Amino acid sequence: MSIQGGITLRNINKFYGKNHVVKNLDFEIYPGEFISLLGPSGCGKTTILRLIAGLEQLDAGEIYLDDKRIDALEPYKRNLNTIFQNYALFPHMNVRKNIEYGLRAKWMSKKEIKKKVDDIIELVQLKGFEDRMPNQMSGGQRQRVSIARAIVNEAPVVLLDEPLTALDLKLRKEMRFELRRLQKALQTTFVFVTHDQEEAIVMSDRIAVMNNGIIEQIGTPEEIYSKPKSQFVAQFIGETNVMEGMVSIDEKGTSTIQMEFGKALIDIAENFSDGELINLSIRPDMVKCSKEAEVGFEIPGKIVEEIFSGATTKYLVRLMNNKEITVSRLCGEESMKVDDIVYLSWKVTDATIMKSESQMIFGEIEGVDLSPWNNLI
Amino acid sequence: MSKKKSGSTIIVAILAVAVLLFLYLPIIVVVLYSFNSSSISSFPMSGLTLKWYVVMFHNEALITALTNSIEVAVIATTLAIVIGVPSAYGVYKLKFRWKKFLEKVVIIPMMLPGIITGISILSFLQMVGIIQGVLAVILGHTTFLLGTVFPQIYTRLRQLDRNIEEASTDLGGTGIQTFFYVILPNIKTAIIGAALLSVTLSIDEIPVTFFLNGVFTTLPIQIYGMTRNGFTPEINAICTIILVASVAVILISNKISREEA
Repeated sequence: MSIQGGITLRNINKFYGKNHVVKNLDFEIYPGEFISLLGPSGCGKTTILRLIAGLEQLDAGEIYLDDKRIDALEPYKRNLNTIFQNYALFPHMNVRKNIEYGLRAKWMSKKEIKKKVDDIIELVQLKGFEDRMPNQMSGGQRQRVSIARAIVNEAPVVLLDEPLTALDLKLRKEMRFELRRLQKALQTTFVFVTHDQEEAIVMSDRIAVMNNGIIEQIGTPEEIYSKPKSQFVAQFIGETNVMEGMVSIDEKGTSTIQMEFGKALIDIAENFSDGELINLSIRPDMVKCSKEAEVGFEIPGKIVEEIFSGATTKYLVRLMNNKEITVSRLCGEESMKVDDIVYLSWKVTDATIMKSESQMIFGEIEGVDLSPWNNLI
Repeated sequence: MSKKKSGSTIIVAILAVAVLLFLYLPIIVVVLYSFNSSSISSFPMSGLTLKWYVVMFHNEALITALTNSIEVAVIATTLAIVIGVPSAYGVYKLKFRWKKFLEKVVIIPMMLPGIITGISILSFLQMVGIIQGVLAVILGHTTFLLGTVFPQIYTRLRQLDRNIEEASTDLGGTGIQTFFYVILPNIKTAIIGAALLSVTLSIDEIPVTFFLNGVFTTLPIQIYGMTRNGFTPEINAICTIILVASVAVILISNKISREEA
C-alpha cells in the first residue's frame, strides 16, 4: 500500500467579506511529509488549514485528499484531524475521555478503544494522568493531550494550527523535536501552521512561505534559506542584507550590479538586461571580508561594531553611503576587529537577485568616487 | 479625622438598617404572624402556635391551587427548556440576517408588562380556539418563560470556546453527537439555573395567569382571592412556606453557578 495523506489544492479562493484572504492557491502536499505554512499573521495560513479541515467553506477551487475530493464534505466526514492553537480540550472530560472522543464518535468497540488509547497515552508520556481534568494540567500536558486526541484516530493527515505558541520557550523547543519524531514514527502527513521561521526551518521537510494570501515560495528549508525567490522570503526567513542597484553588462558579457557604494559581480545565469534596476540580497554568513578587493567586487567598508551572540559574532560594516551591512562569523573563524577597513565580496551564486520594486534612480552610479576613503586605506 | 469618619459611618449604618427594614420588615411580620395564636394580626402577639399551618393544610381550595401551580410550573418550565435550549443553540450556530434582531426580540415577552402579554396571548388563543383554563395558563407561562430561558442559555453558549465544538466535528462527531456530548454538558448548569428561575417565576405569576385561567386557579390567584374576603392567618402560613421554598431555590442556584465559576 502506498503512503496515504497527500493533499491537492486546486485554485482555492477564500473571501472574508471583501477581503481576499486566499488568492487562487494551487499546490500539493505530499503524502507523509512535514510541511509548514509560514508567514506573518493575517497572511492566510490558518485559513488554508481551516479550509482543509472543513471548518471554513471554500469560495472557489477544489481540495483533494489522495484521490477523494473533500471540499464539500462536512468536517466529520473528512479523514483528518486538527490540533488547535488553544488545544480546545473538552473541559468536562478527563484525559482518557478526551482522547477517546474520536474513536467513540466512530462507534469503535470498547476493547479496541482502550487498547489504542493506552498505547497513545504511553507514546505521549501521559501515563498516570488519565483521570485528570484539563484544568488540572499544565500547558505542556494539555498540549500532549491535544496531540494524543488527534493522532489516536490514525488519520493520514494531521493539521496543526500554531500548536506551540502558548508554551514557554524551553518547552517549545523540546516539543519541536518531539513533534518531528512523532511525525516520522507515524509516517503521517503533518501540515503545520506557524509564524516562527525557526520552528519551520528545524521541523519541516518543506516550507511554504506565505504573504498576503499567496505562496511566495515553496521548497525545502535549505532552498528557502539559501535561494529565496523574493525579497519578502529573503527578509522573512533569517537575516539578510538587501542592496539596490542597476545591472551593467560590459562588452565581455560580465554582468555587475552598480550600487551607490560600489559594485559587485552578479551571476550571468540571471537573466537581467543592461540598465535594469534590481535588488540583491545576501545572507550575513555568506559575506566575505578581505584586505584586497576581489575580482569584480568593489565594496569597501569599515567595521564599526562587533556583536558577540553565542556561537557567532556579528560585525556591522559601514559602507561609503553610511549603509550598514551585517556580516556574521563563527567564533574564532577569522580575526576581524572594529575600525578595520575591509572589502566585501561573496560567491555570486550565494546572492539572490530580484527585480526591484522601487523606481528609485541613483544619482551617480558609474565611476564610484572613492576619494573620501583614500586617505583611510 | 477619625471622629468625622465615624460620624459619617454611623449615618451610613443607620441608612443601611432603615433600607433593610423597609425591604424585609413586611416579610418578617408575615412570618411572625404565621405563628401568632390570635387570629387578629396585631402586636403584641398573644402566643406561638402552628395551628394556622394545620388550618392551611385543611383548606382544600388552597391546596388545590398549590398543586395546580406546581403542575403548571413544572410543565411550563419543561416546555420552555425543551423549546428554548435547541432554539438558542440554533440561533447561536446559524448565521442569518436577522440574528441580532432575533436576539433582542425573544426577550420581549419577559420585559413587557404582564397585562400586555396576558391580553395578547388571550386573544391569540381565542383566535386558534383554545379556551381559558389549564392549557391556556400553561401555554401562557411557557411563552414568557421562554423569554428568560433563551437569553440565559444563549449567553452561556456565547461564552463557550467555539473551538471545542470545532474539535468535536473535526474528530468525527456529527452535529447530534456534538450537541449531546460536548455542548449540552457545558451548558448544563445554565439549563438548571434557568429551570429553577422559571419554576419560581411561574409559581409567582399573577397578571398573565389572570387573563388565561378561567375557573382554573393557581396559588397566587387563590391567595389574592382570599385576601379580598379578609386577611386570614393561614395566608401568612402559606406565604412563609413559599418564602422558605424560594430562598432554598435561590441558594441552590447560587451554589450551582459558583461551582461553574
